[in-house]
Amino acid sequence: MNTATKALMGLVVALSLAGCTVVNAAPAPATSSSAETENPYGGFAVANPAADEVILTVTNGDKTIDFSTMDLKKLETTEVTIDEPFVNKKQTFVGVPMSVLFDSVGIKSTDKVSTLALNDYKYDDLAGKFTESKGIIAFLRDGTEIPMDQGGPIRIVFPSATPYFDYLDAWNWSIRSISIAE
Amino acid sequence: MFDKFRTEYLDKNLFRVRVGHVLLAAITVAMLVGLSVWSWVSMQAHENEKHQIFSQESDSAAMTFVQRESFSVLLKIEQWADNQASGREVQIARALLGQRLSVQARSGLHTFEITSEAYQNSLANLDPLLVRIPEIAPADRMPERIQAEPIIAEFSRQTRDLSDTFQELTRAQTQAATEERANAELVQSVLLLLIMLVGGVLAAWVTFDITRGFRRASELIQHRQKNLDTAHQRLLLVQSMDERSREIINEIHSGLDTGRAIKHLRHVLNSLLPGNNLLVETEGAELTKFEMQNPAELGISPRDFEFMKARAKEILTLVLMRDQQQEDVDYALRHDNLTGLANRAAYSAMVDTKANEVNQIGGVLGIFYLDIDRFGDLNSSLGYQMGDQVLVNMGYRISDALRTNEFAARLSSDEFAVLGVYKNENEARSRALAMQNILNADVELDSAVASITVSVGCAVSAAAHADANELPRCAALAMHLAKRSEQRSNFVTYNSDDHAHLMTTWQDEIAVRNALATGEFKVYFQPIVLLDPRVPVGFEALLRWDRPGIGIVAPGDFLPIVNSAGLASAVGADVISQSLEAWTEVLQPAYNQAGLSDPYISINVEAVQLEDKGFADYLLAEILHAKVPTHHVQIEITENALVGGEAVFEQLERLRNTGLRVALDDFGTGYSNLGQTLNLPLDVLKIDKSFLEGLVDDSRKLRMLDDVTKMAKGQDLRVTAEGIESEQVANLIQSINIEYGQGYLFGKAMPRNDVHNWVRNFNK
Repeated sequence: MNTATKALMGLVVALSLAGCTVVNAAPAPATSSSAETENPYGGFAVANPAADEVILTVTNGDKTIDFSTMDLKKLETTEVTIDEPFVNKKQTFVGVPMSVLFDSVGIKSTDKVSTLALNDYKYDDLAGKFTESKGIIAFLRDGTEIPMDQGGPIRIVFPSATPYFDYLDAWNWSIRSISIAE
Repeated sequence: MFDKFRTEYLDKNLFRVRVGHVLLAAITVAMLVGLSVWSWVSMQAHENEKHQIFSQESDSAAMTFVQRESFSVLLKIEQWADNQASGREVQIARALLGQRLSVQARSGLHTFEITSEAYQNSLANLDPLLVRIPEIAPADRMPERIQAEPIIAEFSRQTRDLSDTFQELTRAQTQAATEERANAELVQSVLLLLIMLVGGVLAAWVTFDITRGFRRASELIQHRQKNLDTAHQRLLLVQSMDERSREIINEIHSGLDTGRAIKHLRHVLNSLLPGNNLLVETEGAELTKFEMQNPAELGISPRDFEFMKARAKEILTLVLMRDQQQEDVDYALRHDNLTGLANRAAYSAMVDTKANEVNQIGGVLGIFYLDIDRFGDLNSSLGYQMGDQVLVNMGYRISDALRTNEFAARLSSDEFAVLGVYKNENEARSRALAMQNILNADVELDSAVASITVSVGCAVSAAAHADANELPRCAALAMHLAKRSEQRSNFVTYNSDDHAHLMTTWQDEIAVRNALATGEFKVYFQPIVLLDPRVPVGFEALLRWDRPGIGIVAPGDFLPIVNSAGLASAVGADVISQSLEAWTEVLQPAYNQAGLSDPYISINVEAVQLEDKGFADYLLAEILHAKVPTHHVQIEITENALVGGEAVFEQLERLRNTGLRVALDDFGTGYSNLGQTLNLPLDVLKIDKSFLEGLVDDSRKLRMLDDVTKMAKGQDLRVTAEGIESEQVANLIQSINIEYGQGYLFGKAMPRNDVHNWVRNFNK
């Protein structure tokens, strides 16, 4: 590792201390990339994970469940139409209620959970806070998969008129895991 | 008063709300409202800002996240070059950077648009490498990395420079927020300052007004307190004058003389009003001069001074009026209302005065009693008004005839007296005769002419020796003698040689008459007892004279005078009246309370009473009036009464026919023939006590008494023995069948008030 790399890593670590933790992402499977993308600032399209690829791991102590897109679609889902606060557009999301995922591993509303994204962004709070705001793990946006450069493949979404709708720190996109906070 | 004060002053002047007060208050309130609104708006803005911070990312925050994601891409590239990361991981990092760059920040721009153009260019230069990265073999990665160093280094530099952009944005944002906050606080401060300024002005103004109001109120209260103190002083002065005036008036009513009353008044006035210079002059009962000054240095108000002056004058008027009234009373006490001459009291005092004068200076004291002849007839024929005119005329003429050192008085209805000091008896008698001549005259009345004559009783003292007590009695006796002859215009001069012996009798008669008139004659009651069994049956009424200064006088000592004075009938009537009244009120109730039969009352009747043909009717009327049954009445007569003959007998018979009993009293003391006596209309024979004297030792006397008793009983007479003083005598007379007795053994004559006790104790 050269000096520049070390410096970059030190800077990232320093930034992570403010609320993020850097973890190594698992090696991505080979996916096709496209030069076209809906996001004008995405540069180029990055393929979403395969349907059976694990995209979410939910852990409560010794109990861990891995979910692929296919697995999530088999669970109870709900649809939410909101004015998406990051892009200011009306969008419809379909996803699994977080309560369902909490229940699957026995997380109680009084447990403090940690949500972690692919870029290691982490947000911790009581499980009850997420369920109170009817948070969902969305995997479809406007009927299609959520692109990687637009928060995909899965992201947390809160319906309008809930406490967390206006609290953007809790909107963790490109989420990778949910576990009991240490 | 206070209400008026409050109404007049406090409500108007203590504090008055002014238009300016209201205006300033309104401004203050308006600014307070404005401040509140402004603060609320500011707070809302702040809240909105806070809301936006949470709900929308600020440009600077977005820039931070862009820098973070950019470093992440660079890190992944370096890891890729060292074969520690896959090409997909690098692309995912780029994808997440793309997501970040697409976020719309608070400024409305996409985050990408906030970044510098150099950064945008460096990223655009980097993207072709990143697109190719998955296709590069691991062995070629480092050479590719090295080859792409300028591009990566540029992107790295631009990423680091994002901090400058972040700082600019943060600075700009902070500056904007600070300016906004400063503006808000400036407005708030200005408003607050204005509020404090206006509020302070208002408070100062109100405080000034209230202070001024209180100062004025305080001044007014002090002024009023001063007035109150003055009024209090005035009240005290007036009250003190009033109280002390009342004291003087009470003393005047209690007899304080005029001189001391005026002295007391001066003292009071000098204490309350020093320097008043009270000037008082009186003439008789009239206040002729009354002056009083109000000393200026005292500051007494004219009204108060006039009050005090009026009070002082009132006292003076009162005391003078009291003196006048006293004089009037004294005059009335010493003068006769009708004629204006002195009355008997003044006359008596003048007798004393003139007697002393004679005894000290010499000469003789002459007293003439002048009595209008047949004045009663004149009154009867012409009426009392004409009679009064005659008396008034007499008074005038006597007054006109008086010389110096002579004094006249009206003693009674038609009796006048003149007294004077003379050289000798002759001069005195001459004056008396001259006075008689003057008064013997025709008197013209309203409707007639009355020929008036007067009789004169004259008494003249010895030279230089006048007895103020004796001389008037002598004159009265002379008057009595003059009137007794029934000769008109008679003139009698008292002469001790001829008249001294008449004096005692005449005076006793006067005393008896007075006793009868004033109720000095009292009836006492001596019990009469049935001897076997020993039971009270009645009382004998016995006359006693309770003479003032002497005590009880026995009948034997005054009855001769009563008879000689021709008062026997009058005294007898008094005895009858008192006896019958006592039977009803005392005797009968006392017997009844003791369980005894009604008693009888035995009343002594004088011969002269029986000589009056109307006596029986009179007595029966009295008995009827007193509601006494006639069979409980007994009269006792003496043998003297029997000399009246048939006329007396008829009256006795009439009385007996009504059930009244007739007893012969004092039997055995006269000379009547017993046989003849027993034939008279009698029911009871009362044996005189002299019969019982020596009865115990003289058996002959007892036999004689036994014979008399038997004879009496033979004529159906009851026999009562008087003077029983021992049980032995009682037993003896009881042994000869005398049924009734009275005497000290049973009880002395007692006043009516003792009867109850005697009856109650008789058989104990």
